[in-house]
Amino acid sequence: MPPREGVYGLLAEFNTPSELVHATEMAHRAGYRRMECYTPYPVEQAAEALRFHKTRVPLLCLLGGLCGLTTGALLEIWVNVWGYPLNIRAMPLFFFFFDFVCWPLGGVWHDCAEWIAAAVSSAVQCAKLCEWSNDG
Amino acid sequence: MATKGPVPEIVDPMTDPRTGEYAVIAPGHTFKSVTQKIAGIVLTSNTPVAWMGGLFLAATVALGVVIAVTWLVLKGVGIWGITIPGAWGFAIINFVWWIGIGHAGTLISAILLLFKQTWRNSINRFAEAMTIFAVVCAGMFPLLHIGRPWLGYWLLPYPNSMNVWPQFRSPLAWDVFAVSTYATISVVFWYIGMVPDLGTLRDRAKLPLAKYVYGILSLGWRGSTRHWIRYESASLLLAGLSTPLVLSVHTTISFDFAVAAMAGWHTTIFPPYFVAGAVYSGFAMVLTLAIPIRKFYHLEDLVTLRHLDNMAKVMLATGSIVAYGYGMEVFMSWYSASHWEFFMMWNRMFGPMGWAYWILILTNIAIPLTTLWSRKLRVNVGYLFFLSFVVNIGMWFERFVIVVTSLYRDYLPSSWGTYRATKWDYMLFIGTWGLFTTLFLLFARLAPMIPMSEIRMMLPQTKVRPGGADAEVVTQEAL
Repeated sequence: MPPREGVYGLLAEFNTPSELVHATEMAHRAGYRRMECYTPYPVEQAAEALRFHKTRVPLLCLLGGLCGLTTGALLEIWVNVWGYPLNIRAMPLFFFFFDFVCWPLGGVWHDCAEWIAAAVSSAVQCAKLCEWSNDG
Repeated sequence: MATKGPVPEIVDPMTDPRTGEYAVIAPGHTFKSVTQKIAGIVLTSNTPVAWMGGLFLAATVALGVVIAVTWLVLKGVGIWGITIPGAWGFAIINFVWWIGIGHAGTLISAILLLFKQTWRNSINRFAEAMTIFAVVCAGMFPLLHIGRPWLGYWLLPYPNSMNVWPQFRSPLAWDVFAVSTYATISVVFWYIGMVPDLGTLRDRAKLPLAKYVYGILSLGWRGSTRHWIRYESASLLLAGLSTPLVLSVHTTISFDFAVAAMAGWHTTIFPPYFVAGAVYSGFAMVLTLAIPIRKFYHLEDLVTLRHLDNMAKVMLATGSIVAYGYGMEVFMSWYSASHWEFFMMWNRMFGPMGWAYWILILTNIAIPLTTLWSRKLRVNVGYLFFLSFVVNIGMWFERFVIVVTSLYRDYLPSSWGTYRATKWDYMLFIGTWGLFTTLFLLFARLAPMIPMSEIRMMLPQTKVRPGGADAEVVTQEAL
């Protein structure tokens, strides 16, 4: 392949971040678009001068997180409610979900969740008892 | 004071004359000097003799893990001192202790990043490494404690021919996920943070092998602005993901205790008190590591007295929360009017293992919380080094007291027993110190201990002045 004719690109070296940012800004104003800056540490102003200060990293991260959350929650729901339901001190089968949401918030919230769950489960059991006694 | 006239001002290059605060990094550094200093530790061909000696010693101690685990696998957990009712013993004590130590690394790397505490830049890399190695040591214990470690994968939810699944309403199952998430995030955060520095090492390495390995590990890092912007946003997101972990991992571990209906365990104060204790012991461990390292590698310019002072302040704050926790435990055992709680606390203080409680009060409360108020002592390197050991001993005894004194005097006096750790317990525990030190020494030799790019950002030369007008002045400073 024959070498490409003409100017392929231009390279300039600067001693300070201020000079780099200034030059980038000027080049952008002059209409140059296919540019890149190389620095030994992040220079936000250079990114602004290049008009590149938004990335899709947060979006990808959010999508990944939502996928993980959905998969994890579905797995837990399936295992605890359908796959392998265990009766542990008559707690509702979806009980783990309270903990799942509450554990970062500390013990107090855990207790609140437990009380609510216990109230719900005892109400359900009362209803069942009533049913049985009606049958009998 | 009766002195007249201008008082001669003491000019300490390490203090800021305007605020009297210690400087975060010593003045006079340039991009080049920072890079040379940090990359030089890794890329030098002269391995320090003391490092070799340290590694030999640490690896010898770590052999204890190999021997103890081999014997354990051959004979079973009966070789440990665990009995009924004292079924948790050293394994759980050491697990909680090591996991707690890791918490300071995550606090430094995640929460202090979100709060824009730039002083953390000097210590975050090795604090994160400390987290990972502490989790390695911690994770071993519950896995061995299950008795048949080769069946450890049963803890994970996977389809199997027995149709058995984990019980997601048990805190012991949350532990599996809390610790494995913690380990994953810590490794990812540590590695992503290291990529630009690995790029620097790749560019500076002379040995072909080093060039090759750092080249692969640096993932094609070129330091372009687009790379940096993506890198920065990934770091922020990882910090956001790690922040809840600082609180949740030890909260979940405290639930292992708090959810059990055992006197001394069944209390809602456990989550905050465990988290504070974790950060307390973690900062003590950062000091244990930072003080010899800054001395040995002459990093006093980058890990300054300001860092030590700040870490000591964090210890003072978290130690006070821990002290409040101890106080509350005693108060609640009386205020609950529960016979069992009252007996538990009496037995904890004056029972056959009461000595452990008083060691805990002495090392966690009496020594640190009386002395750390003094700035002179907070910047006294020798004293801090001593204190970091004291606090770590204290935090180990805290877990010992919680695990042992509640279990060996349970509700049924006929089942009361005692707890005596065996030589295998000690061998495994001391072996993990060796393992931790070995991993840390390898890290110090093979990876940049202090993040170069973040230190460069803290230098005054990085300030962008509008228009590039006074560039001349800056050029002078930079060179």
